[in-house]
Amino acid sequence: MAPKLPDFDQWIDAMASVVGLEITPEQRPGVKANLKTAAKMAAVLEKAPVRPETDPAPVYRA
Amino acid sequence: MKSTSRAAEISRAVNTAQTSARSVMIETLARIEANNGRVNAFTDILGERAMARADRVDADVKAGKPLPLAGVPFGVKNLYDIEGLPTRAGSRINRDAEPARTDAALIARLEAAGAICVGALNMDEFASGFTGENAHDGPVRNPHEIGHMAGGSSAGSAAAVAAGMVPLALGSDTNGSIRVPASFCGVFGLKPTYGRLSRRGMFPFASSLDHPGLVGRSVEDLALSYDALQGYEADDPAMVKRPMEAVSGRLERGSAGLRIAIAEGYFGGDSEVRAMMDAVAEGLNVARRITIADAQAARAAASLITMAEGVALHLERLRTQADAFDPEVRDRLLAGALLPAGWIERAQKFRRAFHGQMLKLLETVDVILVPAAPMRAPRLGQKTASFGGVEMPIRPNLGIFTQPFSFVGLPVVAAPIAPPGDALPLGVQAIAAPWREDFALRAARQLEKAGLAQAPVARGFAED
Repeated sequence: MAPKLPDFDQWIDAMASVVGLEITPEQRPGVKANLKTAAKMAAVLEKAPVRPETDPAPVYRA
Repeated sequence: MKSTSRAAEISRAVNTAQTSARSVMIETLARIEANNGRVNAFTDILGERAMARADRVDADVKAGKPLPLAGVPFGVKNLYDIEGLPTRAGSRINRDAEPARTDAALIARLEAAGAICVGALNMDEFASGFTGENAHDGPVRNPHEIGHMAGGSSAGSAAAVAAGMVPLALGSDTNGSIRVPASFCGVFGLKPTYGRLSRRGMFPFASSLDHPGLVGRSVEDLALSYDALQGYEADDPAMVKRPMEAVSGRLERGSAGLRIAIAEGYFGGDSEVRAMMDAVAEGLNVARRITIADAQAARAAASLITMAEGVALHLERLRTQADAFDPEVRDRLLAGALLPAGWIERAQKFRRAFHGQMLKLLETVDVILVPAAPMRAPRLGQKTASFGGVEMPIRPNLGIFTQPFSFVGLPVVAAPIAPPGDALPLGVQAIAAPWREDFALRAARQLEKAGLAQAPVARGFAED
């Protein structure tokens, strides 16, 4: 699920138009850096044990 | 009585008529006036309002009304609503918002106990950041070394307390935003259980992770204030209806009877951090060492959820006024809008699993100790630092030790550990099971009793 070496420019162009955002040249390096961090996080999470049938916890009680 | 006294001392002195709330307030406002320029902690000062409240407190004390925080001045991170002010939340955008009609619930609760709000405090824009460097209001400076970061996002809260301008400040913690600045500025911080304190009247960041909390200069002050802050409010859907569980009377038990362990592995840190943890282990006589499986994944999942929830809050503003954001915050939020849904859902499923794992671990241990931040406060403007020998960007990595616990809502106290010589402070987190704030506070109190944890006013700001 987590791409190993995605093309970040392609990713930005495709998704930004889907969500109605325009990523300017000034914003692009910062957005790319943050996507890179997110992709690393997703790769870490991919290795963590999660059973597919687990209930998600967006609202939970501590 | 000094204006740099702790909250409990001020309250005792006002309640016993050794001083008046009016006189404490005059000194406090003068001290803020004299010192705020050096640290840039306050963005708004409420002189007139504070003096009027001080007179009311004096009248109440005279009438024999018991007030646990009589005349105690406090500041609030500027994401808390203050009647009559726009709630800027560190942003330029919110400055044009309508002024708040009423105070946030937690301000009202502290004031009902006799404390007095004196102003609003600087923070990272929209609570998104760990540095305290605000592009619009300027950086908050660390009172211990003004060329260094105060830590964020509750930067002004920690700096105002460390500089002795106020003994208490309200903050908020989504991924470590109370605990990181508490560690950098050498003050105590409390982030209670998710759902314990009301968020009514607070500007959000990432709702499923946002916790209100506070900083102060002693464990007793944290406990007194926390007791005043408890109580159900219907307007926060995350809030859990629980009876008041006062902690103030339990502190002196210290760590007696508590099962305490130090978490290693992921939480090992560099040599300075390890040396601090060894001193803590020795001081508390803790021999037990544990590891927390999947802490790294918990931190990763917390980051992904924060990105997704953060942008859900700001998407429309990013479409129409992206230039008005702090560029660092803006680019992180923009990236959050582009993430695959599957990553976020996996993070939420993992969150359930990790929550269960932590509850199980906390059946065998009452308090877990880990460092609060991976380093002492970096210099203002510094972009990278060594993390375990690897040069990495600072901004996204200051919360590596705090994120796994706020991720699943556990109560945590951050206690400042006195540094050797002139070094900047470090901090340790005491983590307990949900609703056991008392355990975390008792462990911190033990560290205080042992002389290990202390929060003196920063040297350049101390009174004779």
